[in-house]
Amino acid sequence: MGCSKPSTPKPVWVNMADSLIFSDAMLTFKTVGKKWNATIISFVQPLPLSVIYNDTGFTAKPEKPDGIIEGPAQICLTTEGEIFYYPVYLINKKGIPVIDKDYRSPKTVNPDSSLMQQRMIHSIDSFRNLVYLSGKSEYFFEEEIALAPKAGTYRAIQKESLTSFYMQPGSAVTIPFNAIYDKKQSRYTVTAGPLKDRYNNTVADGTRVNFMYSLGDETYRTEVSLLKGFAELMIEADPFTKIELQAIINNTSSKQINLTP
Amino acid sequence: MFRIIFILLVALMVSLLYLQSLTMQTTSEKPIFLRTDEIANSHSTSIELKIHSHYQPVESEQETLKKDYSNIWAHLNHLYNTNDVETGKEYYTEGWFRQICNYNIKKIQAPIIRNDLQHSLHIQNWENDGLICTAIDSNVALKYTYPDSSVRTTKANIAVVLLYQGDHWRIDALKVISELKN
Repeated sequence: MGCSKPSTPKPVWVNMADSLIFSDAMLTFKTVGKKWNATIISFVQPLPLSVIYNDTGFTAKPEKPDGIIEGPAQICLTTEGEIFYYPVYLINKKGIPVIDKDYRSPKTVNPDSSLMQQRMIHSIDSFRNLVYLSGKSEYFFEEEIALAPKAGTYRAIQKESLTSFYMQPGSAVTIPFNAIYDKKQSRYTVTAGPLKDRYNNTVADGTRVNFMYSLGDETYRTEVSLLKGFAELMIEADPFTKIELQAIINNTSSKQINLTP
Repeated sequence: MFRIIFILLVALMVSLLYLQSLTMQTTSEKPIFLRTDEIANSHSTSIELKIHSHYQPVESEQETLKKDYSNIWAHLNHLYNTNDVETGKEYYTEGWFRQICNYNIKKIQAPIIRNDLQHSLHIQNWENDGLICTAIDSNVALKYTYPDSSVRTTKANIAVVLLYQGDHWRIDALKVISELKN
């Protein structure tokens, strides 16, 4: 396509091609005159070319031979108000590094609710072109995956910290606990733990353990934070009073024990 | 004597203030929420959403996606015509922005003006938390207007990856699967 009634004949693209590796492009045009501007308008943006004149016309090549966003394009030559277009398909060199994207949702998984995670994958090259997924015959792929119930921090792509996701420990299924009487100091050391979830993960640090104990007619409640699966409490002993003690975390309760010196 | 010391002190303070003003960074760019996006506001296109994904966006999310996708195309067309990489940066991810700045960031007035007339956006995957959308934009009607007022219309199929970052959807990657002349 060109302007109507051009006074300059349309330059002949000597090494014409349907597709063009942009970084290697060396476009030879046979024409007259030495006042040409050359641009490739890619699907995304215009990319100016540098023009080198020779005896028969000129050669246009990229100012920066690098990768581009591929797609249909127009080579656009202008001289003194006249414009000439040449359709072409821009591509990059083969062997460009491909970046795999692996998005996970949710990022934090709690085994109390579900071990399932959404996984969305696609691949792009380093110039933001989507790449066909090898073996999948499509650009995008999605699946639901069941994660192993082991608490920890994982990465969807090992070398990329931004792909990290987390398997939290679940809540305690039982609360084992015991009390030791210290005769010298006349007090009990009550220890709850090790607290594990149903997949044998140690319950998260900071989980509140409620110790409920009664001394005579009065009932006391003390909250202790869990550390490395254990929560510890000191209770002053009374030689004449029996202490009834129970540990509770949310809806899970331990058995009740009676403390007597 | 005191007068000389006083004058020296004042001179020192003025010099310090002057040097400090030289190092201060000033910017005339308003934050995004105070700016009016004239390019996006003056753009109109028809976008039909077709949802094929396992997780489905709710109605409000669909409306946001439509509006942002329209704005993305407003800026893609502006970029196509001017190589103005700055104006639409709010609709580009960092990776996309780096790529379009890679070659040449000088503004160029390209002779062809592109308009997008119609989109049929087939959502292939929608992230459960609504932050990633992959889609095939099928039969995108594009109109190219040349300086001699001649017009070329095409139908394109485009695969896109959109990420929700900041306040809106941004384009992250693209593949023109095909573009055929009407």
